[in-house]
Amino acid sequence: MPIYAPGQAGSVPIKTVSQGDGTYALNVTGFYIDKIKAMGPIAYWPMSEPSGGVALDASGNGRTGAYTGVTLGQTGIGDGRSCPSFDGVTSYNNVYGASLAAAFNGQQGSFLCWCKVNALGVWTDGTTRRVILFQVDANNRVGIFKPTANNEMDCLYVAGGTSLGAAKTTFSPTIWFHVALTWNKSGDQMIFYVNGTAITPVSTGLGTFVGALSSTQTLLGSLNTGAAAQVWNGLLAHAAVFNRTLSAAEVLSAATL
Amino acid sequence: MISTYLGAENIALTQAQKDAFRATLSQIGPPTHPQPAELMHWRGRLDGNATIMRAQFQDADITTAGLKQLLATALGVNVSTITATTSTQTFGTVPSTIVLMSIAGVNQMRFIMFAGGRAPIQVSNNEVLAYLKINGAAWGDV
Repeated sequence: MPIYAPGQAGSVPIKTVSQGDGTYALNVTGFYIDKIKAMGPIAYWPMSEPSGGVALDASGNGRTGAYTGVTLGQTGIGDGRSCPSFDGVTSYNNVYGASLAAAFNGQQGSFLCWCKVNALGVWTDGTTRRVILFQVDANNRVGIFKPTANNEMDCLYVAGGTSLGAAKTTFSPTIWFHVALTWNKSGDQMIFYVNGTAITPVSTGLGTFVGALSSTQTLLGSLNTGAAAQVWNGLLAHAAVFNRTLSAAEVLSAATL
Repeated sequence: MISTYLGAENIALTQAQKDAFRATLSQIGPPTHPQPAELMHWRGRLDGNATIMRAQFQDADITTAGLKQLLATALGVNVSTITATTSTQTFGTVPSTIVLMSIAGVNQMRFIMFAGGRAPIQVSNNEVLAYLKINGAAWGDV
């Protein structure tokens, strides 16, 4: 359990260190944020802002996101930082930007994110709920989501119309869990990880990802901006995107505080 | 001030009237707020004829009289020409208030004050989630 609780009376600062995104953290449970930054993400949104409409990019690349309808300042993963709550109805974090779109590699890359549902019933609500989605169009998109099927987390990688997916079934935690997705066209592998463990068998037969990311479907916590369907109902934290395939060891490290 | 979810469904408005209504909606809710959730925001039904809004509203806006005035302002008509009929419907566990607006005997719009419009935001949220579960296909959730 973290000792430091931001904004709560009784917090005892031990050592305050700038995180490089305008916020500060204490050296109590270790610098989780630095571990992710060291992996070299092209964009990294801890989402620990206490207020405001901007999701700062801790990668140093300035690829900020824009919040809609989230409630900031919720209890985070235990690293001393807070996170946003997505309401299942209208919330999302629109991370699209021309710079991110240019840096994104549909042929080789990785996603990381911590997730938590608001209630056990979310796992059986029959509703698709998005964690992360980077989409060009229906034939070229990659993401992680809770499907309509009960007690399951899924991923998808659709490239050139070739659709691959993987699922973690019989899964209904009400505590934080970590998801990751890696894809590599040249190595012909897509791997979905939950809590640092790869879902097997890994997927092969990747198509060729083409096109530029959509400005309305490159986001966290929803299918799209505006209409905002398939909204995540719970907490998300520390979402990161890479233009390389993380190793299993790196994913496991990211899934560990 | 009250944070809640409000539904609005077009029944007979023309496109121009829908545009005017949308413009009027954008004027309510706080102009700034440190929490994104409290700013006016919404999602649309796939057919473009219904929306669910959330914001920190003025108390007077989330009443039958307030909604009548909102519609009258949007349509540029005298509020006295609008007739409101209220009923309740329970989507989850708490009754929501349905307000049907008509002009000259023609139904124009239907509003839903989720959980009655005065419940805590989490209660209102629960009713919206129950409503969307029932109507998931129309709203793109499945």
